[in-house]
Amino acid sequence: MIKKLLAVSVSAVMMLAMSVSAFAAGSVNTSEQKILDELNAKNVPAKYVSQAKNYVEKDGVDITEAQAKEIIAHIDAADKILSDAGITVADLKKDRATLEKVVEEAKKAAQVLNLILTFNYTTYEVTVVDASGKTVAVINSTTTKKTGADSMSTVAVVSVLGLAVATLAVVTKKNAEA
Amino acid sequence: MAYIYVPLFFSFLAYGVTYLMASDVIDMAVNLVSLISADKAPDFSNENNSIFVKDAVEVVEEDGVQTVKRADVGMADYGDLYAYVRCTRIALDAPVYYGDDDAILKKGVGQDFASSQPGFGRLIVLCAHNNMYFNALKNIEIGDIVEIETSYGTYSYEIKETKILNENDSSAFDYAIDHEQLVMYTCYPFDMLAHTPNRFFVYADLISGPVFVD
Repeated sequence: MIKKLLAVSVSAVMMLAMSVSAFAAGSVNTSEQKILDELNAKNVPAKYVSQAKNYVEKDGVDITEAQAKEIIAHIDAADKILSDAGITVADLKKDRATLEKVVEEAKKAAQVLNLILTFNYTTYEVTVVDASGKTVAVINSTTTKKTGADSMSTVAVVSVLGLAVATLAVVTKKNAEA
Repeated sequence: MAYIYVPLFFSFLAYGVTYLMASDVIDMAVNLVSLISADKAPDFSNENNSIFVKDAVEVVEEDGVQTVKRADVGMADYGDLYAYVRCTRIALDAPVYYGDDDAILKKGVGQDFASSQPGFGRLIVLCAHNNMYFNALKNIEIGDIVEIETSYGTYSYEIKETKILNENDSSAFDYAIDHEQLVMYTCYPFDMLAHTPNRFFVYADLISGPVFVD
């Protein structure tokens, strides 16, 4: 649930944070700050707000007042969708129809900044790319990544085969003795 | 009937087991055949870009305080190698890439793309495989100093705490934290040959590093 809501929120955040322009040189301008404030006001998860902040701090990203207004309108629209459905972000995962509506609002917000937002309904991962195809945001639905060695299948198969051979040897020996 | 389904059962079982064991080799063979039969030259441009240049940005030190111009601080894109994380006492020395997908984790330490670069006063989340770059974390101790060297200076963090938590524990770190915190994690237990449901977390607070100025 939280993942889906986060995804939606992230989409909106991404769109908001993606306007391309002049020479912000890493600083967060007034319009960008309004977007970040709106995301916080709508209780968008901190992970998504942090991702949006990373984007607006990039060189060359400078969201205009007009873009900010449009993006905030989409954030408010997404919030209204949740209110009308009588659910919270936490319930979004159980309500596919509402989730899709919220994702659409997020996509529209991204388009304001010429960004393309993709939402994976299986993994709940949000990906945002710019017009050149460069990834500008990736928000996973998981808390952590898989950071262990990945040889379990081989170990398991070898173990099972070893056990089978041992069992066969014991059974064969007993049969021979009998 | 048993003479039919028993041999069939064991035949399919044998094929399945063989496939599981040889899946990596089969994938490699399929990729090789695809490479040979491709209509055009393969694209090997998936190499990660490096924006790390040692001492590229001038760090000014005055009255014991280091500063760098904010405009000189380069922001990494997804997949960029932009820093090195080091801890001399435990022989940790690894490249840091901005992003944490599987391909990146094969090359070095990955950073959660939603977390911040050093110097911004926010959360920094690094992860790496427990049998590779972060295997050294099994020897980390409270009080150890971890450094992150970037093109715009070196930031030092003091280890404050370690924890073992479930992989889905959302309390593991806070993106809205009010100070600069470095969090490193890897699968736990160390040296396991499979994915594990637990993670070993290391928490460190910033103790020194260049401050941004306009």
